Amino acid sequence: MPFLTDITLGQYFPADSFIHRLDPRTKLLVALIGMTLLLIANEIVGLASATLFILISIRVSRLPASIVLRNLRPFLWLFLLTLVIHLLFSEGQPIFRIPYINLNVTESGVINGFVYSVRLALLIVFAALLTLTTSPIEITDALEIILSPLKRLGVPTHELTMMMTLSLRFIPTLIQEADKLKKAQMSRGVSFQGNIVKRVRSVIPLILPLFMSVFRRADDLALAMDARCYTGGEGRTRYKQLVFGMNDYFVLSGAVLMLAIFLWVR
Amino acid sequence: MKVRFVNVSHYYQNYLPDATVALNDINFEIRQNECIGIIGPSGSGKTTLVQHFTGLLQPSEGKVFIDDDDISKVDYDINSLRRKIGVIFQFPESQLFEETVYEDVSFGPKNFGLDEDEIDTRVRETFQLVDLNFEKMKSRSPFKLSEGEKRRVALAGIISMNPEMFILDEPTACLDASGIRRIEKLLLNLYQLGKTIILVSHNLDFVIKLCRRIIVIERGKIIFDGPRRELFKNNSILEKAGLELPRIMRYARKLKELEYIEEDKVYSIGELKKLFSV
Repeated sequence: MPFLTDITLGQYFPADSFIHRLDPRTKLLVALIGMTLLLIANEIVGLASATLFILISIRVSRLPASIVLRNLRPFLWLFLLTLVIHLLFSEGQPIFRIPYINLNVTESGVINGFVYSVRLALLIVFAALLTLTTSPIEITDALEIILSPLKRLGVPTHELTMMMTLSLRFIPTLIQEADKLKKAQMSRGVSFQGNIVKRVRSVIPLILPLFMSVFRRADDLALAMDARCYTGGEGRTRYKQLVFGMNDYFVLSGAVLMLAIFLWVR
Repeated sequence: MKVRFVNVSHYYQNYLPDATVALNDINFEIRQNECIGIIGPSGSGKTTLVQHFTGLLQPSEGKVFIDDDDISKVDYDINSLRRKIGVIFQFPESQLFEETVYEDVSFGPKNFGLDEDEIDTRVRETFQLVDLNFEKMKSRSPFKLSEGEKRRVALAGIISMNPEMFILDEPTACLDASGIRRIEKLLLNLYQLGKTIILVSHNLDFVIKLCRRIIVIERGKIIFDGPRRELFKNNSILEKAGLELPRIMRYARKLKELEYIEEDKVYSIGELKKLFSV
């Protein structure tokens, strides 16, 4: 029986590798650039080189390939849908006619369906690669620094990233709690199977206690932060300073160069 | 009802590098109206073990038999098993959700499709068993009770299902002395009603008072299964499990050393008192 605790998508996977050691700011920026490239790359050549790049990255990150690729599983229906829609509704040279429903499968449809599915898959793997090799704390730290110019415009960047850190921190806790509650209510005869009405009703004994506990936790946390004199980002220094190394400059300039080449070729 | 675990192992299907074996080759048999204490240090696999009784977790290896039926079979009626074995998890008060205490206690029986009249008698009986005043409590919100009362309402939510066997995971955690005493009385009552009680805890003081048979698990393995007096014959088992001798036995040993008493197999204050009055 699959339970909620099996959700481990994109969860940080500690290892010692070149990619793990990179500065999180580098990784965040490279991921951004990489995703931009993926979105503007339309040609087979572009996608093929991106696939190659990602495969090499997986290799360098020392993550078992199965763990990176399992992130794709929940999105399979999305790929399928993309493929089918492109197959059925593209214009161009028909290569096959589907009887009864009067639709043509065209050459460009096949190509587009394929290209868009692969592109989606690559985007997801790219994002997974970032979160698998970077702990949530590192990501939010990096985000805070990257966003810090916005502070001048009055955007509360520290508070925003703190909120993000906290929510990330509590996701596993809440999943565990939901799992526990689910089992407790199952022991009282709640069945999480059956038709849609039954299922919706069976969610109430789960959601209600969960909400109660979320509010209690939030309250406790606010109190604990207050007790340690937390007053927000003003004048706050950090224990772990992020330092750019040679590798970071190297990787980042590589990424920028790639972006430049891509834009120029187009 | 008879429960039999045969070579049960459980591995958490976790791909992270710290994946662990939670249960390792567990074998035991439990008969009707036994009172068994399952003890072990934190993280020894007690809670994982509990979840195997009603198929909330499936064993990675081995089988669980209830009355000689394999519960992992596809056509096994797991829902009616959950009615026969009442599992009370740690901090059960966190599962309260209804608007009134009455509704929360009747939630279980309602799920198992009992009719209104029967539910009502059950709920009334249960209130009495857990020592809550029916008229005063029935229409109050479960969220506005004291912690001890919440715990008892949560227990009532399982007792009202009238299961044959109770499995309680740390029922006394975070309760004060009087709260613990109430739970103790409740468990004795249930035991006298012919129920099977499985008490899971690391609080030996509480467990040895009630349970004659003790199972000690440590790092997912059973390292002792037998009568409580056997357990205290040598200290090595408790030491291995990182547990301390119950307080009452420490006192008894000291008293025996000082030659006030001759016997140190004492499991409760009452028994110690008796030794002195002789």
